[in-house]
Amino acid sequence: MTRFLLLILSLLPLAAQSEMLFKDTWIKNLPPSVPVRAGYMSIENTGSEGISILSVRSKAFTNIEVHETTMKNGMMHMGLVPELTIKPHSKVMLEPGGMHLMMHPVEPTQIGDNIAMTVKLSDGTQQQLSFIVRK
Amino acid sequence: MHKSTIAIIALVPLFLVVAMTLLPKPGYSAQIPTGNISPVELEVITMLGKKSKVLPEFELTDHNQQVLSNEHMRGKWNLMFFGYTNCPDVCPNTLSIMDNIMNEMGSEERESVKVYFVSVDPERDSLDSLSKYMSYFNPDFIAATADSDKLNVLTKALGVSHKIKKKSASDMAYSVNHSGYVVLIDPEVRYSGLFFSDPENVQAIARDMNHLVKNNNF
Repeated sequence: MTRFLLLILSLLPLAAQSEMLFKDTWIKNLPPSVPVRAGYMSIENTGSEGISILSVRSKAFTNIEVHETTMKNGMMHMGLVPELTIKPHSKVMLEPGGMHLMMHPVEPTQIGDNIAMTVKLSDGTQQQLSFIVRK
Repeated sequence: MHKSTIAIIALVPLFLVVAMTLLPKPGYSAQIPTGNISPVELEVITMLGKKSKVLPEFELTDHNQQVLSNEHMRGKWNLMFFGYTNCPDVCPNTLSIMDNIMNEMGSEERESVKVYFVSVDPERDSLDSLSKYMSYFNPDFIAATADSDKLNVLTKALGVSHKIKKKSASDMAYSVNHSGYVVLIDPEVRYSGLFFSDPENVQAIARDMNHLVKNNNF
């Protein structure tokens, strides 16, 4: 049993150390009358294998999905990105006019709020992120 | 010198004054760039030049419950964007960019520019919600909408597309596909230009707008 516990403990630091780096995490604030918000961030995979985002969860939002705004013949379309995989040693930006986290706030957001989100990754790790709400 | 020659020479300035009064004044219509525009003149905004199009009579209702029609555009440079308030990404970011453009413009030039947000989602966007939406971004911006027949008069003339993507008749969480460019309507109520609102181009677009306003006396 002790040996088993030691094994588990020795694995923990590994599990916590993800090769995915999340930066510039922010949410565009909108007036309370609007039931949607977009979240943005940069994601960098510093590892040598592709890593996918399995889920993004937050107590402040229901149903968080990755969406992408695309332009076809000058017309903007918004669609679900079923699986977002970051290739090894590469960076993906979720930014205005491109990909974003499509979210439905439980309560209206306020400028300056810091919102906790949990990202589950295909490498078995999960990360706690803090998103700042900006104008 | 012969007397009559002197008389003619003396009359020349008078003739010039009369001719200048009779000839069309060099207003904005004469100065709207036609054909190729050198990048020094306009950096981002694409002007339609000779292809500028007089808008047909249209009628929308603005967020103050007032009629918004061609006459409201007259005498101003109007920036118009089409979208919907449930749009999380492109619409709010475009409105923020428009706000930044207005702030970057010269304070005098800004007086000649109006910004309009036209909702192509009249089913969900009530005038009240449009009012709240506009006061959040910039209280000077005007939001407007109309039923689809009335909307189409304007959007067709501007080449703006919009399509509601309902999954079922009761679907109220639908998204709306819409054209992503900002339309420029000139002081003679003609569709005269367009641009994409890239945040990196805010200052250049503000310079373009300053240039348009300054070089067109109205």
